Amino acid sequence: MNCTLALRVLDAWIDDELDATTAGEVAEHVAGCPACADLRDRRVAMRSALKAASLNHPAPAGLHASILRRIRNVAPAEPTRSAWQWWQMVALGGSTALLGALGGWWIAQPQATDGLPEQAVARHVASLMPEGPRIDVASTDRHVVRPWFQGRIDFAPVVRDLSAQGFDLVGARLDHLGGQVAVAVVYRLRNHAINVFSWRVLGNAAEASRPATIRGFNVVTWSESDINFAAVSDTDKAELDRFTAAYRRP
Amino acid sequence: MATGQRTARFEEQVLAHLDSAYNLARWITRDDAAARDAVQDGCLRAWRAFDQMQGPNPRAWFLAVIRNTCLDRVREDRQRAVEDEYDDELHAGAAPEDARPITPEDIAVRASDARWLRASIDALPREYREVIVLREIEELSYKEISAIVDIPIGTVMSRLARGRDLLQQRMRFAQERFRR
Ligand SMILES: [Zn+2]
Repeated sequence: MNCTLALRVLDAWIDDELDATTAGEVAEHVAGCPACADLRDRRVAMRSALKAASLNHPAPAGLHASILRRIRNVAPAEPTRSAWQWWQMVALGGSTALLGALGGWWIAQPQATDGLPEQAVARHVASLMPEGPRIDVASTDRHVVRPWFQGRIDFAPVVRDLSAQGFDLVGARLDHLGGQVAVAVVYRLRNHAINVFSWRVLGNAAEASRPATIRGFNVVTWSESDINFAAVSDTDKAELDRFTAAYRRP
Repeated sequence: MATGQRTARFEEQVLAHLDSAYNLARWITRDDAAARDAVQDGCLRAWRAFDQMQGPNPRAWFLAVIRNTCLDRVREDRQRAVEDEYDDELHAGAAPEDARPITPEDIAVRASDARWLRASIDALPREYREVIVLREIEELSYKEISAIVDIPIGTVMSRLARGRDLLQQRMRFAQERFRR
């Protein structure tokens, strides 16, 4: 291992977050490299100073009691299916679907071994916050959404007006998938959010077109030219297929 | 579920981590009153979503909710957001608060001075401050931090490294003092 590599993972090594093999290689390098050993020493010194200083801000007295008083007056979120209320509920952080997503946030964290459909579901879930789907550029106009990515990514994202088919454009954001920068275009079908991710194919890893159901979300992946796509939603499979068909061939 | 039972479970699984929640909120907002408000709002959000909470780690789930509540509040206060950006003297390469050179004697005094350390961390940009707090004070794993801050584990690693570099610049430790 050389210094460049050692420095990249030095903090993870100090934090005991490396696998045994890599940790062994870092230890071996640091043992023989004064420069890296010096940084290690400074890190360790800083950590002991931080530990010694007890930097914790404890909760003020009475906060626990005042929270208990407040929640006693607030009922848990009731399930709601009314489509027109969706954005209102999203704004209030009360949408059942989105709270479900927030709750499912755990199981949705990407694992190192997860395939791309799993990662796409994880990113979809992560985008669904009580405030609404995460969006960097909010617009129902594809002529606003598409140019926003200029200079931010190295391919032209597919943004289509599918309102005639019942899919309303909500906006888009920069995301990441498979360790790469990805575009997420967000549509809404009634009270369901649909994320369409696209990212550049690296090597020969073109995804075959395939549908899947993962943790209750439907996913369709495909690739066109050298771009991978993944559409994810909690809408049913038939609707997502209809969406994918429309998005691919309007 | 009966309301009393639900409250008891909420207390046991979520409110048990109130100190962690307040600590995180206080470091993100850098203000006692703002932290208190954010924690109260965040607890209401968590309470509403509690039935949907699953998984083995209510603490990380709760901290993610608290963090989002804090960021919403910070975003609401545009003025503060602007200050946040321009407060970043470390990125600009400026010296710590006093320009005179720091002597080993200063360091010995300051290393034990929690207020000075707090000010140093407070001066970090929020994205570095929060990962440092989650790691060094809350002692969470990279995986947990990745889930709470919603960034890949690789980004947790690089943000921690960069945050510590910035902190180190500010603290300018004479490492010999701490070797012993
Ligand atoms: Zn080295």
